[in-house]
Amino acid sequence: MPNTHLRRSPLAQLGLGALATNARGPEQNVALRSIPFQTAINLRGPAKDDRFARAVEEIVGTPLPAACRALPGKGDLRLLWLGPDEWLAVAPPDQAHLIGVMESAFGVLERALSGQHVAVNDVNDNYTTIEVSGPRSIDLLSKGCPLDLHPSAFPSGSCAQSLVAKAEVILDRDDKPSELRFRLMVRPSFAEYLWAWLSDAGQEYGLSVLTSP
Amino acid sequence: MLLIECPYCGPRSEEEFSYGGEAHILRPADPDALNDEQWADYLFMQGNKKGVFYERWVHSHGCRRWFNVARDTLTYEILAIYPMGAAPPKLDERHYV
Repeated sequence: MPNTHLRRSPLAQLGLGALATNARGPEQNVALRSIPFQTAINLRGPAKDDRFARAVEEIVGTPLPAACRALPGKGDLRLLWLGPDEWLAVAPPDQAHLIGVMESAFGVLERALSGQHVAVNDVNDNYTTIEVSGPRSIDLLSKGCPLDLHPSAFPSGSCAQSLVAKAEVILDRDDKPSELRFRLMVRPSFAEYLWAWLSDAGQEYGLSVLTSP
Repeated sequence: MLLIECPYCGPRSEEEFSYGGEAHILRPADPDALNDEQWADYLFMQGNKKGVFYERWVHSHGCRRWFNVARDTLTYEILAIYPMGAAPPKLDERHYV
């Protein structure tokens, strides 16, 4: 377990706690929420090797997602496709059991795949997450993102690495039953900029800030 | 702005890609045997063709994978996309005046 008492969200200086509300008002069509310290594990290996695919499924509880897709796994974990031999496992912060899972992943993968190139890396601190939710989130993101985010091209369960306002992000669309929801994983050094850009771009949609988890 | 079909991610905006220069330039097998002129030719000299050009692109803000593109440098039309290491497809070279 990392020491958590000294860590600081990349957005801490914005004082979001004072702006945040728990519920959106009637005119608030889009909301931002900062989700710092998410668990993130980068996984690389040969997708076409059945032993690798089975080992991953055993560890994270989901088969390898197809290109540009994300799948839910065990215990709030999501496995995101990043490339033909690269995935990102994302989970809520401080999941002690997941760190255990990660450690066992090394063992399982080493045994299953001797002689193959496999990598499992803890990349928690490489990203912070900004959640964009609400009916106008597609309109908001489309102002700065070259992806086609229309539901026919980018439905819930899609993920992509792209740019939002020229900042590199991993977009993960993971709708709640009655709500559009995107998670933007961004480098900590771009987080304040991206938050400011999203806040500005969302003004016309009555943007609100939700309480961080 | 070009719409480039990444072989892994599908069609994406040119903004997500970086250009990698001419494709199929082989590194000399024995660089020590080359004189300065030949080495400089390998390092710096690339084609500047008006017509079909074979070039490398990398999906730098996406999946970060390299691939080859055959593109008409006059019309910007992308004629073929094929993986690194593959032979270039047989295409009409489109010699313009």
